[in-house]
Parts: sequence; structure tokens; C-alpha cells
Amino acid sequence: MVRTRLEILIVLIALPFFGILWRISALQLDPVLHQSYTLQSQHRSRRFARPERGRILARDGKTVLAGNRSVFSLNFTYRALNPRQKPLSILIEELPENLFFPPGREKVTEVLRRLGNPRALARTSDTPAAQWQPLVQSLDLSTAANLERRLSRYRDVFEVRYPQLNTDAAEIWFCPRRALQMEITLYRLAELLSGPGELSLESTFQRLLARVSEVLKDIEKRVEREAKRDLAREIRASVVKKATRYRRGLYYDWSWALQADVSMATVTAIEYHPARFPGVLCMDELRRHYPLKDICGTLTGYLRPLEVFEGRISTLTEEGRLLDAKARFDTVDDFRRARKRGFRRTDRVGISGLERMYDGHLRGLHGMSIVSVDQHGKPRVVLDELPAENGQDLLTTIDAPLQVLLFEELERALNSRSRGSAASAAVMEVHSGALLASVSYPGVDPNRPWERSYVTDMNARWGKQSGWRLDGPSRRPLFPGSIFKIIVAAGAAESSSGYTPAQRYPCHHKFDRIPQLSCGSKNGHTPDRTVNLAEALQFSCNNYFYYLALDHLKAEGLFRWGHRFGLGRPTGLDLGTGGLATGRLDPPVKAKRKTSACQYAIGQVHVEATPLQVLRVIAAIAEGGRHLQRPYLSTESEPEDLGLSATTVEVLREGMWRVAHARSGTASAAEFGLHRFNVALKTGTAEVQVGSETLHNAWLVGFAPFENPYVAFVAVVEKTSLHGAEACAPVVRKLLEYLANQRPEAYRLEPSDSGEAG
Amino acid sequence: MMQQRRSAKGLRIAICATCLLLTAVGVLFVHSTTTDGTAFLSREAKGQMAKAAVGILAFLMVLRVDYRRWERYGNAIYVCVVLVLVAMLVVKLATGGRNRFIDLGFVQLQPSAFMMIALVVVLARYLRFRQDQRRVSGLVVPFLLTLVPMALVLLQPNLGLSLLFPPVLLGMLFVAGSKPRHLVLAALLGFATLPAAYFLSSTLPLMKAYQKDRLREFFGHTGHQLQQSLIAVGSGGITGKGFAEGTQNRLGHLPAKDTDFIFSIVAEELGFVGAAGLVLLFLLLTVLILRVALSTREPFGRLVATGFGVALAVQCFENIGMTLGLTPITGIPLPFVSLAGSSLVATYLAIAIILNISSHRVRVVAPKDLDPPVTKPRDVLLEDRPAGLLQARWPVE
Repeated sequence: MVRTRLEILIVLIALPFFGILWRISALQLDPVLHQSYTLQSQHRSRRFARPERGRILARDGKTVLAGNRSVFSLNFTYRALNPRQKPLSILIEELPENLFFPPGREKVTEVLRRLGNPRALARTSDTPAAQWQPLVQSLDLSTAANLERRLSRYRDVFEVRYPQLNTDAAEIWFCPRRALQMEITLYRLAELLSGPGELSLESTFQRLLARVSEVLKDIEKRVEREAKRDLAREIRASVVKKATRYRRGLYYDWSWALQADVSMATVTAIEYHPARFPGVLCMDELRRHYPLKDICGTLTGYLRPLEVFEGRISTLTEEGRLLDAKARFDTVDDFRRARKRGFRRTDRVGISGLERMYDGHLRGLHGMSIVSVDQHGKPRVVLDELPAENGQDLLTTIDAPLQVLLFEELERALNSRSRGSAASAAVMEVHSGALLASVSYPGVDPNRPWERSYVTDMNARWGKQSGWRLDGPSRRPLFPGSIFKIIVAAGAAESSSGYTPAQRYPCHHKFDRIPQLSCGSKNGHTPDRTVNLAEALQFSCNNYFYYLALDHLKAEGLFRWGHRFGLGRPTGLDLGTGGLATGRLDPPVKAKRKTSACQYAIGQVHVEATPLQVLRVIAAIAEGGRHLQRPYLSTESEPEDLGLSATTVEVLREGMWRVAHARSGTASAAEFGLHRFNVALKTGTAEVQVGSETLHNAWLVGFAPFENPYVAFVAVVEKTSLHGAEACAPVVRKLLEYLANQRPEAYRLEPSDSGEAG
Repeated sequence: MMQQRRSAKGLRIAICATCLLLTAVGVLFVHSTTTDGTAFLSREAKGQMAKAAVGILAFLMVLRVDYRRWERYGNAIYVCVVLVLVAMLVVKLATGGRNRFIDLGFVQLQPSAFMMIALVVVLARYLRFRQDQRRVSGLVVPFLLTLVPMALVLLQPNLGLSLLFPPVLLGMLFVAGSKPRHLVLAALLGFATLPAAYFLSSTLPLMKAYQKDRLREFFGHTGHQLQQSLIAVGSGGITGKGFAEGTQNRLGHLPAKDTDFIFSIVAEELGFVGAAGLVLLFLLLTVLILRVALSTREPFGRLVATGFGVALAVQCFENIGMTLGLTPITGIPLPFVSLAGSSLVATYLAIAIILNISSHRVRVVAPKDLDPPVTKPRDVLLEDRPAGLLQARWPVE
């Protein structure tokens, strides 16, 4: 009987073991299940690697226009920096009004005043134990009990104490070092960051304090916005309670930027004494850096953090995908396909200039690795890896020394006699369209385009509406004035109305047909008071071109030839697609009246052109009138056909040569010093009304060397009181000197030659 | 007769060898789960070896003690251990903590591990010559003897260990001759208390919140720990990932991998071959212990061996079952293998007693002959006694 029962027991006991065996075999021997569990057991996690952005280089391949450099910056977390924020608000809420806060005073200021002098505390050493001090005495017990409960988590800052002798009143004590920790820390930081002198220290401190309070406002705004959103979604209060409140609290723990670009010494001082700088973090990152600052700022453009809202990229017009938003990449191959046009939430993208135009080229490709992570989330084994591909360098056509030189000259020209509002200059290779320099003054410093103080300064100096951020050569349409006469001349010479460049028209100040119009000369330019085309160009005679406009071209011809020379159309410059100015070229219907056609012919009222559009015209004449080049900075494109006849071009070239070299050519005065160079020029002085004042857009364009042109150039000073050559001659002279230093025989004329060509 | 003796010796050797093998597996896998790759044996593995050495020392000492002495002192031991548990409970209530251990400074002792030995001995002693367990009234005392320590262990709280007690009681009662229908009824009643405890725990301190969570997990979705354990077992495949190469092990995603969940790591690193081998080893050990019970005719020894056999089997099933999602997760170590010193020593003590039973073959002629010759049985049954002897019910010798 017992034996039987024992045997039964053995069988009963064995049964669960077979159950276990069955379960193990089910888990381990099924290949599909095994595969799935093996994958899970790897605890795969994605790690992204950021590529280094490619540099933007000048034409020599060495000078860096935009590069990367490692910089230190200081960040802070609000909660750690300012431990009194929350308890202070509790204190202000709870403390009896009339007793503690005298009427009419700001409550926070009142408390801060009583806490002590942070500056004195910052100076003294930390070693003696924090001296607790009473803040409020003889507080009634019910308030004290309430405060004690609410302040229980902040006992390191404020504390409720009960003096032993007095049992019916309580006191509030505070620890000055903790209560004023933010100010103390900021004073210490200011000592590291500021220059010599008390004033500098105080102003640095105020700046840091302002930044912190700015962040606090930002945090509070975000918290408020989220609270409103939750309210709108009608989330129950109990649900909001924990998770959301925790999430909102996280903003106080975020790392916020405090000060960018601090020195190694500062970082060392902070890292060696972290206890002296609670809540301050040193960050090390790769920053985009533009060594030429505002000299090239409008060309290179600048970067900006990707603006992502609800998973959509709003900054970019092109359709980019967020790599880390919704898509899951289980393998490196998935990522390899997706990363081509993808962005990450933390990416910085180019929003203007070359940085934007060539963003895809410069950006590089993100890398990704799949790692096994341990229970703390630390990567332990790399399972698969796709390294980041750094962005490619971008070689531009910019001649950096020339760019610098022109910038400095424009600055000098603007700040000396001319008093213009802005200036631009550009230099282009005649045969290719490569821009050797394209300068805009005032420029934008791309290292700090969003810095508040910088923007305020620039706005104050140049005016908020002046558009100082714009790239002058490509984006600023201006009346071309007499420069347009070149187009009129070419059009008339090419027209089939029986006109030849040798034809002479009278010029004696007043225009015969429309008395309101006149030329600058008082008694005609020549003894017989007539000029031919070359002379008309030389003297920039208005009357001659009025005749051409009325007799040979009409408004239709002016428009057709302006359009043919590229006015009113994009230049094709590779500097962004949106916002490139096309200028203005009024259609013939707008210039039906004779006066209008005449004004059209001298580049006023009906036509506006950017300096680069003008540069194309000059380059076309220099090149022989066959092509209209497209200017480029990095990628060359096919020129347009222009098809001027050789004779026309020859006359135009001769006229422009006379401007610089013939006696009383508009740019031939000895004080300009331009006649010593082998150059052909054309001046332009367009009138602009600024209020009641008539100012000029002063142009000086040309090409050199004369016989075998290599470069065409343009310089323009806006809203100056000077005439074309007066304002721009120093700039062009410096440019020619620069070119002549490289090839004197091509650009310089022998002294004996000067002034004789006319 | 000689043949019987020889086979008994073979049985003992087999039990010893199985135990040593399991201990070696334990040391190896404690090393595997705790190594940082530098030392030959990790600190914990060395500790496990030391604990095994203590266990084997205790084993050798106990092996020399006639198991019938346990019969004589059984009641005393039982009372002592229960008193220790009560004392711990009082301390715990006074200090407000969760303490299964007595901290002796150099080593932590878990007295509840020894409760099982005391219970088996005292139950075997109570049931050895009895016939009334066939009646319901006869079951009252054994159930009381079991439920008191069970409640104490449960309150420690140590749900896992306390769940071992009822199967041991039922197994021993079954072998002692109780009616199966009574036992089945008792088992069903026991199961019925579980939901009651679950739902009443909001008002009565019957179950801790985490224990309820685990129960919910068992019946509902898979919790994190079980999920990680299943991943470990499932990713092991047929031959495993290799010793100390398991990713669940190395990456540390499986909690309690060196103690309660060590079986998952064995299954991960040795695969189906190793896991099934380990299960079969435990089955073999259980069967060998029950063979001892089969081969001895002395009721006390038989009951003791049965009790230990059932306890070992249930502990294995409970532990391995929880790593596979077959049983709810409770804190119970895998015998011999887990990093748990008190359990290891207690198990070796039990094995020593079993081996001692196996080596002392007493031919039974009549129940009276079985009593140790030196003393007369003083624990006379209540109903057989004169009325004045009630106070001698629990004699301490």
C-alpha cells in the first residue's frame, strides 16, 4: 500500500518536470521563436553620428570662408542655478502682507534686499559653514505650520524655526549662500568673463542676469502653453497631475545656453571648482566659423537650427525627412537609404547664401550604428555600423585678398566723402562668369547673425528698413542711370532703322524736342555742338540717347534690348533660389510718352538693375558681344547667346575707352588716377529722391585689360551726394592696382600713352 | 540482502554525485553571471564555493549522526526555528522593514531555509505510526503544524518559500495514508484562498503590492522580468550561446540573474541541451531521494525522505517554472545552483539526513521496535492518555 502510494507520488512528481521540458523545448527548438528572441536578446539601440560640415573655400583652395572650429560655451540648468526660485514664491504667497511687505514695494525685490549682498558673498571664500540668518521673526503659528509643510523640500534654503523661549511665535531663517546662489555664481562667472574694471564686471553680471531671466520667461511661457494645451484637450486633472507636471518641470532642468564662445581659461576655472559654480555646465562643440566675418557674410550665408514643429520641418522649403522622428531603422541598410535626404532634429541647416544653396553638398551624411546596450542604456557591443560621411568642401571662385581689399575700400569710400547709405562691388571673369569678388557693405557677420546686441547695433547704425542683411550685388536693384546708355547704344547700332554709330546729333544743353529734358553740358560737349556715339558715351551725353530712344528704338526697343542684356531677369547666380532680385524693366506700355521713353533711355524711373546684372552687360561688351555670361560662385553654367556685331562692340569699347582716357571723359580726370591703367570704363549717376534731397546712385563699371579683357567689374555707392566716378574711383583704382600688381604689363599703361587715345 | 545493501550504496553514491555535479554547475554559473572578465573566478563564485564548502562540511557532520536522533529532537528543533521566526517578525514589526535575513556580520543567515527541515522532521515524527490521518479530524494537527511556520514565512515576506509547505504536507500525508479525496479537497481549498487573499489585501495585510503585481502579470501580460527571462531562454536555441557569452547575461537586462533567475542564464548559455540536462538532473535527484523512501521500511525515515523529495521537486518546479512563465514569480532559489547560501547549506543538511536514512536499514517487525532503544515513546496520543497527562503533549527530550 505504502509502496504503491510512493510510486504514484514519484509519477506525480515527475509530471511537472516533463511539463518544464515541454515548455523549454517549445521556447528553444522553434526556429522562428528562437530567431525572434535572439533579436530581442541583443537589445539593439541606435546611435547617430553627426557628420562634419564641409568647408567653403576661396579659389586658392586654402583660404577658408566658412569652417568649423571647436568652441566652449557655458550652459546652465535653472533649477540647479537658482535653488530659491520655488521656495521664494511659496514664501511670498504665504507671508502676511501688511507685516512683511511694506505697501507699494515689489515683493521679490523686498525679499532680495533683506537676503544680503551677493557681490560681497561672491568675494568671500566658501569654507566657513553657511551662516543661517533670521529673515522673519514673530510669525504666528498657523502660518508657520503651513510654511513648514510647504517648505519641507527646501530646507537648505529657507527653514521655519521655533525659538525655545518663545512658544507662540515662529521664525523663518535662511541660508544666504543658498538663497543668493544664482547671483553669487553669476558674479563669479562675471569675474572670469569680464575685462578689467568694476564697470565691466557689473555690466557682464547684468548681462548674464538678463540672459537667465530671459530663459526663465521662456520656460514659464512654455509651461503655460503646455498647460493651456492640456486644458484644451480636456485631460482630466488627475491624469495631468503626475506625468505632465513632471514633463513641464523638466524645462527647469534643461540645459540652456548662457554664454557662447568662452576661453579655455574660463572653462578650466569652472571645471576645477565645480562647487563654486553650481548649475553651470561647460559644453564643447563644433561650431561653424566664418573667419572673414562680415567681408563674406552675405555670400557664405549662415546656419540656423532646424525648426521642427510637430514632426514637420518648417525652415526648409525642400522636402526633408526627419531621421529620428517616426521611422525606425532596424538595420544599417534601411538607414543608408533614408539618410540621403534626411535631417535630424538637432541639425543646423544653411538658411542663406552658399550655406543654403549648397546645403546638401556641405552637410554630409549622418552615420548610424546599432549597438547592444546594457541595462543602464550604455552601449556595450557595436553590432553594425555605418560611419558618418563628412560633408564635402565647396570650392568657390572668390579671390579672398581681392574680396578683403574691396570690402575695406568700400568701407573707406562710404565713411569718407561720399556718405552713402550702402555700397557694393563685384568683379567677374569675362570669359567664364566666375565671380572673383562680390562685396556688399555693410556686410553681415555670419558668426553672430542672431545676436541681439549685434542686430541692435546694426539696426541703429544702418536703419531697420535699410535691408543691411541683403547681399548688395545680387539682391539690391538700383537705377542704373547712364550705365543703361550702353544698352541703348548697342540696341540702336544693331537696329535696322538706318542708324550708324557715326551719326551725329546736336547737344546744346536743352533737348530740342522736349524742353524739360537737358544734358549736363552747358554749351555742348564739342566745338560744333554735335556728338557721335563714341563721344556721347565719353561725355555721357543725355541728349544723344534721347534722340536714339525717340528716333530709333522707342519704348519697345529699349525694353527688348534691356531684356536681351539680362535686365529684369534672374542672373542665374548660384546663391539661393528665392529672394534673388530680378530688378525691374518696365514694359513698353508704361513708357508710351516721349518723356518716359527718354527717361527710360538714360536709366531712370523705368529700369532698375542689380550690380550683377550690370556686370553681365559689361562683361558681354568686353567679351565681344557674343555671349551673356551667367555669374557663378561655384558651379559654372552655360552662357546665353547675345550676338552683337563686331562693329557695334568696337564702337562701344571705344566709347568706354574714351571715358577713362579721352580729355574730359567722365572718369578721366587726373585726380581719379584711372587713366594710368589699360582699362575701359563707364560712369553712371542715377538720381534718387530721399525725402526732399536729391542724391545719387554713383556707378563706375568697366573692364580690363582693354585689348584682351580678363575681368569686368562694377562698383556702386548708394544715395551719395557725389557723382559716379567721384564716389567709386578710389575703389576701382585699388582694384586695378591689385590686378596690376599681378600682371603689370597687361594692366598698366606707359605714362606717355595716357590721355592720347582720345 | 547483500545485493540490497550494494544497491543502496550505489543509490547513495548517485545522490552524492548528482549533488556535487549540481553544486559545480552552480559555482560555474554564479561565476558566469557575476564575472567582469578579469578574475579566474568572480568574488561571488568564490563565495558560492565557500558556501558549498560549509554545506558539505555540515553534510559530513550530519552524515555521522544517526537520523533517529532527529526524530528525538525534532519537536525541539521545530519550536526553536519557529521561535526564531517569531522573533524576527517582532523585530520587523518594531523596526518596520523587510527582513528575511539575520545579519551575523560576516554572513547573513536566512532561518526560513531551515524551517523546511524542521517541518519535515516534525511532520514525519507526528505521522509515523498514526492511523487517524485517514479521518478529517486527524488532519487538523498536521495542518496546524504546517500553517503556523507557513504564515510566519509568508509574513517575512517570503511567498516563494511559504508556497513549498502545503505540497510537502500533502505529499507526506499521501504517503502516510491519508485519503486522497481529503487531500484533493484541501488542495482545492488552498487554491481558493488565493483570490480571497488577493482581493482582501486592500483591507488585510495579506499580500504586498508587488506580490499582487506579480500575480497580475502571471495571469495578464508578461512583465519585464519574465519577458527578459523568456528572451534569455528562447535565444539560447539548441546549443546555447556559450559559457559566459549570453547577451541577456552580459548586458545585465535580466534582474536577479545570479540568484532566482539563474536557470534562464543556464538555458541561454547552454541551450536546450544544457537546460534539459539540468532539469533531468533535478528529476533524477528527486527520484533517487524517493527511491530511498521506497527502499526503507522504517516509517519515520520514509516520511522524511518523502518530505525532502517533494520539497526539492516543488522548489525546482517553482523556480524553473517561474523563469519559463509557468508559475508566478516568487522569490525562491534554485537548489544547489542559485547564489543563496542558507538554502545551499539547508539542502545539503537534508541530503545528509536522506543518506543517513539510506545507510541505516532497520528491519521492521512491529511499530514498537522502531523506537530508539534508549527511550520509551513519551509522546503518547492524546486519546490514549490518562487525563492528567495532557501537559506532556509536546515533550522535549
